[in-house]
Amino acid sequence: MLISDYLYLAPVLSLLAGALLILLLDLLADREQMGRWGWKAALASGLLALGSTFLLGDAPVRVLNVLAYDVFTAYVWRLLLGALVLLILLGESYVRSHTDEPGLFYALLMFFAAGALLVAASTNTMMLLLAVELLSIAGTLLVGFLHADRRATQGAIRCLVYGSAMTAVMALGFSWFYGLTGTTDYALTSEALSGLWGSSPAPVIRPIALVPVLAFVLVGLVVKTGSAPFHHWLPGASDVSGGFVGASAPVAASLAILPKVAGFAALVRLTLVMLPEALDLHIVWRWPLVGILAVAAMLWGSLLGLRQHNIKRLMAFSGIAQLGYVLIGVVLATEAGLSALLVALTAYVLAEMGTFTAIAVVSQKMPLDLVSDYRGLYRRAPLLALGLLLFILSLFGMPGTAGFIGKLWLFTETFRAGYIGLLILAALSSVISLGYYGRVVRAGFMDSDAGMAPVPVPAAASVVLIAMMVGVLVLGIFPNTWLRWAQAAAQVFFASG
Amino acid sequence: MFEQIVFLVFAVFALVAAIKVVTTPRISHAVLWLMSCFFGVAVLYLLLDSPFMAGIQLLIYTGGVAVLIGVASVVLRGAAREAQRRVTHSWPASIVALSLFLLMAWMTLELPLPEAPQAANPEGSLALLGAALVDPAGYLLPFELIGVLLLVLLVGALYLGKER
Amino acid sequence: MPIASVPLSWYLILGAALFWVGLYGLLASRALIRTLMSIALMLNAVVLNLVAFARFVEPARTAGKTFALIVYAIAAAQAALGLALLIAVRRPHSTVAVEGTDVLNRAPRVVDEGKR
Repeated sequence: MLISDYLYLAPVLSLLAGALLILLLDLLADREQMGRWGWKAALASGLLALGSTFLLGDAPVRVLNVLAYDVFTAYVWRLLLGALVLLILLGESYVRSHTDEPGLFYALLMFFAAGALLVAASTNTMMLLLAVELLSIAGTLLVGFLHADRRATQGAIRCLVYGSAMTAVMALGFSWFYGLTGTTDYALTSEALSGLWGSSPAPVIRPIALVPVLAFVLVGLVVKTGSAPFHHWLPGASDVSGGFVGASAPVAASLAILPKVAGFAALVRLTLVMLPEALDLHIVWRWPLVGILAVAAMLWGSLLGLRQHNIKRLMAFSGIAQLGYVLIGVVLATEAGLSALLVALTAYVLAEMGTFTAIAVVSQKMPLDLVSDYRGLYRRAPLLALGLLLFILSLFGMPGTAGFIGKLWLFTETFRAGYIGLLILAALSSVISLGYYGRVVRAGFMDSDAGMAPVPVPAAASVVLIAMMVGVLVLGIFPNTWLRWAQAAAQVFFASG
Repeated sequence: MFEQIVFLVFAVFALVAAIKVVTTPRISHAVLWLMSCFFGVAVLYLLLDSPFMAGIQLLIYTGGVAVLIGVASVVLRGAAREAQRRVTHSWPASIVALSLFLLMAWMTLELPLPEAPQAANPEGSLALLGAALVDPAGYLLPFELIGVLLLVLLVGALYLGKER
Repeated sequence: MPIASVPLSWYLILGAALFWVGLYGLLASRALIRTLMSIALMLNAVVLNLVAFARFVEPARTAGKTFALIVYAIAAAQAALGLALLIAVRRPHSTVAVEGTDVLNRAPRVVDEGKR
């Protein structure tokens, strides 16, 4: 039983083994050698982890009492690991030229990804808390990694302060769940809550009294994982050296993508497994709480994005808005809504990976990351400009791209479930986002490139860019297989009930 | 009755110490208050029939975290001096904290909480805890993961602290 | 001591008070060291909740205590990481403070004042 349980942990274990191997190599090899071998070792363990998810089968399994391996987990793990592999490719040249400890960087990245996998599969509140902490401590260290750059250390301090506060708030919420039910397992919590509710004729708990607990858990989880750049963009007076801007582009990309995906998986599991469907609790959680968060994220992201001149910040706000759309899937909490959530999340990952690749390339040349640095990009780097256009169209939801499928499905399900207000706000936010997406496109395609130097695109970045462009188009034009996967993954939570 | 008095004494002690931690101007005093607060809570764990947790509290929190912060504030003398100047009282913060406290207190009174404690387990809860931590059907994975977390931290802290 | 005469709610209210005192410290303090202490206070309150709940709701008390141990590990990790960052940021510069007096309005910001 023990051995077979660890088999299902194979992806996590290969990442951890990769991390330890790299740390060990780091002791033996010098900096030059690590620069050459570190990323290869990381890539190998990432590919091994990704490959092992295809060998594990589809049957739902409970792993070591605290994790669940099922089709949903597999879907999310593949998404995470695919993003990780591309990140390693993408970051390679940057890491080699910008850090003095490339081995350590890759080891931390592996630990970070292992944390993300565990967050996505967790079925126990204490496991979730610990995995989120692993994710966030490794993430904080990654932000602070470019030590020579003081802005990076400041970003790490922010990350730590906000992250710790959110951990504490989330832990407080979970301690109350434990206190009311005597267990930390999601399914048992659900049973115990139903028992508290259903045993006597009059409801024992007034649901309103639990709202603060729900809110703590939700805010803690979403702020800490779902919107990883959240703590980077709280505006500060005269503060242009925020963490997100300070962190290097590959780090920024991993911070934007991996925790969000993992956090959404955790949120879905919490919603559908831990909160019993019959209770008002479930309803309160979905509509006022998650719904308000979704609306806030959409509007906040779109409106504040309009004011940004730094493209990394702009994309961070765009990411917040995208997060809001995906949260709608949790509000719906139906099988179709959940499939739509996975589809939208995948489309987001593709477009975001692509955008950050493009930004990373330009950033090597022009480290200020201003939107005006992208003037006439289509002449200076045609592939880059074309990719950026495609990804931005996908983020906006242009037909023919992956983002369109995700958004269309989410919006249709929202309409079908009758959340008309939510739908209108989401559409409004989409329209607003056109304002800043348009600015980037205009800079890239319409403004003249007078006085701007051409941007050379490294081979690894071209590979990632082309892969993402193909991904966005293929999933946008022939989405059937993909949609079936997402549906199969969503069915996990609805098959028995 | 006796227990209630002990509870009240140490609860008030811990609470006053906690308030002192966030309000006292001198950072060295704040560290001492922090240790006192942890100590007061450790006594409450004894009342809760959990001597093991009381021991851990003293070892990790009072002995580890608080001493770590204390040493750091001595080593980084400039930072401590800076912190002293910068003690501020923020009305918005106190309003937020107080209203959230009142919300939690209301919630505590509103929710159905068990009146009587569970009977002490004859096998001893410490033995059960130890078994659960290494049981695959218990909490083996979280226990192992603590090790991973601390390793990440160790490596990261070494890197951050390295002279270059 | 056969019957604990202290009700569970007393512990919980104390826990809530300690937690929100910690949050006050987090919001009001500008120095990173004090911020770290405030975070330690908050997590300490969570542990108090857990130990109290474990005594009252779970016969074996294993889940509650394991959870408490995990929170201890997290607290220790955060304190250690915070101090490592403090040292890292302080080396090239003289003083460090996390600025963030305005509630939820301004991000904590590291400022350095006065070169040594």
